Amino acid sequence: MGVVKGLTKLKKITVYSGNDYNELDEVHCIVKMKIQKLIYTGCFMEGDLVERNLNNHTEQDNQIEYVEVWEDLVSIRDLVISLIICVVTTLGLYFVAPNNSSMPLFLGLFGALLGFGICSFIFKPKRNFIEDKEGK
Amino acid sequence: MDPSLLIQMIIAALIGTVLYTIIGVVPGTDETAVIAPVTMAIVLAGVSPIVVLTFYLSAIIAHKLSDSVPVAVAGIPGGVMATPMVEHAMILKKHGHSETSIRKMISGSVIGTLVSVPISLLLAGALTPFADWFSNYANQILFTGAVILALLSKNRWLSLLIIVPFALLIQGLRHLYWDLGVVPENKTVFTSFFLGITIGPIIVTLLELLNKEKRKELVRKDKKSVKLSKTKKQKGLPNPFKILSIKEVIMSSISSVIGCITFLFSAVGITTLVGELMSKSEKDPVKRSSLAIANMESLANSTYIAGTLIPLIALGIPLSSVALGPGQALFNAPPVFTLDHNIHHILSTWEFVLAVVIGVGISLFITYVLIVKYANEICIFVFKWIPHEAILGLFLGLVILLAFIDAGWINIAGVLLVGLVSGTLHRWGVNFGVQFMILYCAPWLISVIAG
Repeated sequence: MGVVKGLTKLKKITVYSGNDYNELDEVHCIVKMKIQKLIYTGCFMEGDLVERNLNNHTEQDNQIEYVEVWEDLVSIRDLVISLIICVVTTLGLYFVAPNNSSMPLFLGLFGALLGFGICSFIFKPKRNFIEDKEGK
Repeated sequence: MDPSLLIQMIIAALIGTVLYTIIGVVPGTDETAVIAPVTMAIVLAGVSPIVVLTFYLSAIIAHKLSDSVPVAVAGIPGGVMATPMVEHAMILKKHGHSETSIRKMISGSVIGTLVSVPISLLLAGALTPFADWFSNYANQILFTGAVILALLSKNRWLSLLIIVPFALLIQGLRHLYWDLGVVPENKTVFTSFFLGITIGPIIVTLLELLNKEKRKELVRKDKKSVKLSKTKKQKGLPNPFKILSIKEVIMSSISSVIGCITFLFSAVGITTLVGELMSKSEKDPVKRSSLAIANMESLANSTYIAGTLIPLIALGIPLSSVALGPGQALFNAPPVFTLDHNIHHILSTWEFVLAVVIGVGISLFITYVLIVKYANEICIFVFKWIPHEAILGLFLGLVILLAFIDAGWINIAGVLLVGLVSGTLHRWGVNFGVQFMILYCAPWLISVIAG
């Protein structure tokens, strides 16, 4: 990683961080924020904390700490919510499935993918993008 | 052949390819942890064996190829197998050849596949006469394998020491379940313990988050920075053989053959060792790196294909690091597959060939086109839209479901326990191969010790 850091310093870099959304992203972002707000208020946080987390992105970036799990960064709160969502959709669909031979497992598998889809939609990856101009 | 089965195989190959092209790009995803649970679930769901094999083959090819793409685009390995390539990709990037890395990689992987499929089939044919001997002494062979792998582990003394206690943990839980009546006497819990071992390291990390002191060590203030290199758009589809120089083609082919012959050993180990050795002959740093990248990718593909196909076609017991890892479900997924009745016993040789042609063919073609044309877009899509939380949720959800199906609610705690022990051991230098082999020979080992 030392090489990577060195290269960053040496080269001119343009930053388009996760906060600068283009138009399409903006629509997605608004819907996403609404859902996040529902979830946060629903199960985890006090009102003012919700506002702080959702409205002020730069502030949020400075305040929220990320932890490294499996070589990438996650926020603990989002991770806990994700785990709950995925377990609920997976087991939920498994149990509601009609009880014939392999249906429950198929629906369970589908539930896991559904949970994955929901989490991908409501949480933003904790990654910043830097467009790297190549050497030479 | 039933045409509906053929259609199922093609659909399975398409799903495997698309799903694992996306998952492969995600940083840190370990092939065993992401491929084994899904294959396991598909086997248990009663999908036809030949379709399962097709799915699995397309999944490993797609995952293997796409986990190297972020190395070239962002210098981040998509999986464990791509780690040895980072250094070489960074050298190429520094000299302004990011797109060279991508092209050399895919060409290497095409060569690795084309070389290793026929060689694996030949080697499997040569080993088949010994199959009876292997299956008669499966327990002893797996135990010997555990001892040998233990000696090759990072922490060899602990690995040796832990063989019996770990077998005791596995058998202890099984007997407890039988005593409690949560599983019938004739059923051996296997799948969920296997998954517990594969996700062990994640379980340990997640549980560490509950410890305040430990959590502080894992905290990062900033988001992960991903540096993307702009690469030029590719017009048309290049011929993989023209991308590589003659030397690279020859060297990659030789490496693939070596990868096939050494199918017993760790895929990552062989890739690093042989890949580095082969590229030593080149002095110029840029040429050396591109040779190393082509070599490593072809090696990785061939160890994967040979590691799955040879034990599967010839022996029917999982005697290679790949078969013990991601390919596990093809050998043992009770009650559907057992060591006496698995894909090895069910499929005929020409069915194997058909599954290989469809699974590998479709996957290789699609990933080749996608990656040559859209390497950057795929990486940006995954990095920007797929949060790591969702990936962790997906696999933990699946593991919990399979744990519940295996032996009821109590087994979720059982899997947690197995994962915690195995993850801690893994961290202390006991490699997965040792643990998987112990899982296999535990019943025999404990009964021998108990006398």
